[in-house]
Amino acid sequence: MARGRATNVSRFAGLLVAGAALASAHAAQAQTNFSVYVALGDSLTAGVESGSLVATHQANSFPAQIARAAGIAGFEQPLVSEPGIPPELTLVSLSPGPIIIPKASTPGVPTNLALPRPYNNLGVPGADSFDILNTVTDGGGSHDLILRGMGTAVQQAAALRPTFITVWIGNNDVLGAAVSGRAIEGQTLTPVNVFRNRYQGLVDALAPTGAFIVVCNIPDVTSIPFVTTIPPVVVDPATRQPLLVNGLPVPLIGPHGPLASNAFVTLNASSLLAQGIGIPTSVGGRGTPLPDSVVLDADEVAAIQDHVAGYNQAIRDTTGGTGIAILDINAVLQQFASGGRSVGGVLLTSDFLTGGIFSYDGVHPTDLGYAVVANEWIRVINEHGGSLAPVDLTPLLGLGRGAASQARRPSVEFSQDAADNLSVLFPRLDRK
Amino acid sequence: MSTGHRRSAALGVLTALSLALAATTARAAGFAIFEQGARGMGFAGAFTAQTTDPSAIFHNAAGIAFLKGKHLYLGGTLIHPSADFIGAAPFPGEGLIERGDAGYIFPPAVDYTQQLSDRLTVGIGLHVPYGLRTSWENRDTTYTGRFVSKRAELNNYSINPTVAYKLADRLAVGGGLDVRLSNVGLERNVGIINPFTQHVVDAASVDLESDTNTGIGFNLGVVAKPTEDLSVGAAYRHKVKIDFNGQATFTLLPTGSMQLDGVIAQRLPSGAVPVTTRIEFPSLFTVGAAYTWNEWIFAVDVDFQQWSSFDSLPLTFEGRPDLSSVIEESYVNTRIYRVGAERRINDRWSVRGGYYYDETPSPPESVSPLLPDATRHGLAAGFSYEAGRWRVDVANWYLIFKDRSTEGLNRDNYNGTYSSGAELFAVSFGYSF
Repeated sequence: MARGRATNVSRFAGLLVAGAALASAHAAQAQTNFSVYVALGDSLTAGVESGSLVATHQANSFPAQIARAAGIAGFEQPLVSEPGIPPELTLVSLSPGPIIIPKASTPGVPTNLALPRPYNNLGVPGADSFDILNTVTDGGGSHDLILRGMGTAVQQAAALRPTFITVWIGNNDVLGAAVSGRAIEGQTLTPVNVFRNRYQGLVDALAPTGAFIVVCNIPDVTSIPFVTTIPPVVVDPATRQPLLVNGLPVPLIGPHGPLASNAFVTLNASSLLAQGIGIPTSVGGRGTPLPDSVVLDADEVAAIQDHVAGYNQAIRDTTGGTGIAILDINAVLQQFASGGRSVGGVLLTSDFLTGGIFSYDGVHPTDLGYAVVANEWIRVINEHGGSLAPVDLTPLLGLGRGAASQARRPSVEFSQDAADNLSVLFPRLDRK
Repeated sequence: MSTGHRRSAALGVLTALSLALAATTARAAGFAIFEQGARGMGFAGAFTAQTTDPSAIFHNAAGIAFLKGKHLYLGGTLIHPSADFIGAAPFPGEGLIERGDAGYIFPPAVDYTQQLSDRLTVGIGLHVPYGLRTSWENRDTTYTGRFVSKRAELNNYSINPTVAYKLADRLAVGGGLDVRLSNVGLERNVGIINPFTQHVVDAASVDLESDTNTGIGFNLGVVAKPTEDLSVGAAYRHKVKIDFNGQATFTLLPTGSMQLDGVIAQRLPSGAVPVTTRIEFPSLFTVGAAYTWNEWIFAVDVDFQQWSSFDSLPLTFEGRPDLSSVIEESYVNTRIYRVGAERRINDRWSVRGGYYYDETPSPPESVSPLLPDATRHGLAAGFSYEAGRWRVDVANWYLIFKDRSTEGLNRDNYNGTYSSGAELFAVSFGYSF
């Protein structure tokens, strides 16, 4: 979650936004005018999937899917060629344990840098409630890739004179705590009152555009597969079930001793567990503890959830009475995390790899997940005067006519040895 | 969210490779059958107050009290149901078309009555008061509803010993024991997300077949004839609960990935698993009247069907709570309105016709590939030929189903509009001893 903080925040940002807004003083007369659509947000708006920003999945970012449903021409995104930036993760083997690696070593390149205007999709991977209003550059990071020195995300949005805006920001104000395994107020967690002030500033900055605005609240990041997949107990690799000794599961070893049953172990622990770290010697492990960075204890989970609740209250409060509509994506995610949703008899859940909603990074959605998300936005849009047709999930499920033979097509398989070889041959490229 | 976390290491452990087996739906619907004799069908089923043939064993037990001597009445109805489905977004997609291929059903109806004294008559009938068959083209391969239901079959036979007693020349009561023999078959595919492709893949076919199980109910009726020409009747058939035992046979389907096949084999049974379910067939209360005027008979009935007894369908897999489920049905009580008329042409020939209006008990949430039930209009036409001790009745029903939309509410999010229809052709032979 290392992320460069902008240093040259423009003091004129507010003035610029206000000026653009005056110029486009066509008020909210047309709530269903989608002619100029701008999406503001973070990686979830950008369409990041399987740890990568890549055109094949950007084509199914939720803003791109909304734009298609609304028949919007010229919805421009900061496209990146295969295999994406950074290279997209892929699943190469399921047995004995799933192996997920980047599909190539050399990242893709941006292919739409020359667009002489801001992108319609201004989602910036890594951006939080501070960045959206303040950050212009981040030393070669994702802000530079997408904002291209043309102002902050909000400034660029206003410059496009949008008629319709979606905003989904705030995930990175809390996600860092979940991904880093450390919930620290002011460091990995933005204090709720700070978030509230920033969100108020965002609402104030966007209101003058006169656009129809829909914002999305923050999901409980402790229910994503990055957090929920690995249980806090030793698992028998043969049965994939918790190992029982004398009828009882064996807790993993955390930084402060055996993990409580309500602790979470993040996907980042997987390579450590594979080396026996965190596993007691009595069941064949090394007996050394997992580091704090891969464990969320109950207090940390509670702190994260408190912040999510606080942010979502702040979003309700600051948008109240402004005509801004809210999508409660937190409730949607809870449905997938607790029981799932049947689509034509196939149960979609928040489960890793087999749930259909989350991609191989355990954080970002799949194409299908983004379509489900897009349909939730469309539902809210239609509740506020829109009449968009929902996105057809059938091709994304691989069903529909002519799909049967494709569904039976053998998957590419790598043995674990082959995968191990690959990871040795192509050492990981660390992100700057 | 950052794109920053990349993982190249093996995920050493992973328990959450759960397979979403979720027991989707097996739901039945408005599956009542009123085709219990070709003469009554010619009246569109408005037969509760009529006492002219042994099918009264089904329509109103008291009616047989007016049949002198011995009578045998037997026949059957050839039913050809049809169903087309037009999909809606988000699934299975706007304009996608699926077609039913349920083929033909042939429920028989056999009744025998014997007068024991001036006042007492007994009889026995074999009827099919409920039944269901739905099935879809390309159900094993490309049918988009195959994870909900690709085939459903319900057979329900009633063996109905009956006794009726004349309290007066124009007043009779009757009752019967309603022994039901029933079996149910449900077939669907299990669809899971293939972790490699992130597309749905068919993991298994599940074929649930029950044994023939038994339930017992009863029926009561009364017929009064206030004048020579007017007959009124009321009949009640109690609900019957049947507990089904059977086997669910899992056939694992190759996914194209041996590793995934291995995971599926760990999670799904292969072969037969004992399974139980339960259906409470609704009670039925009917009132009707028939009026004779010269060569004409006019009849009218109202049926009150207590479908609210069908509120859920539990599918319990023995020792496998992970596969078990309870499916909400939430049917509502309905009415059926029937009118019919007969005109006698001469000693040998008579013709008849009728109409009925049948409300669906199924809320839109429960409208599914298993039974895409809809409100229907029934048009009836028929004729009879009589010769001495023999008679032959022929009837044809043409059912016009209202298009039924799931209104985006289907419990499995399998949404669209069903256009159903059915044609029924019935023949019954009567012989009086």
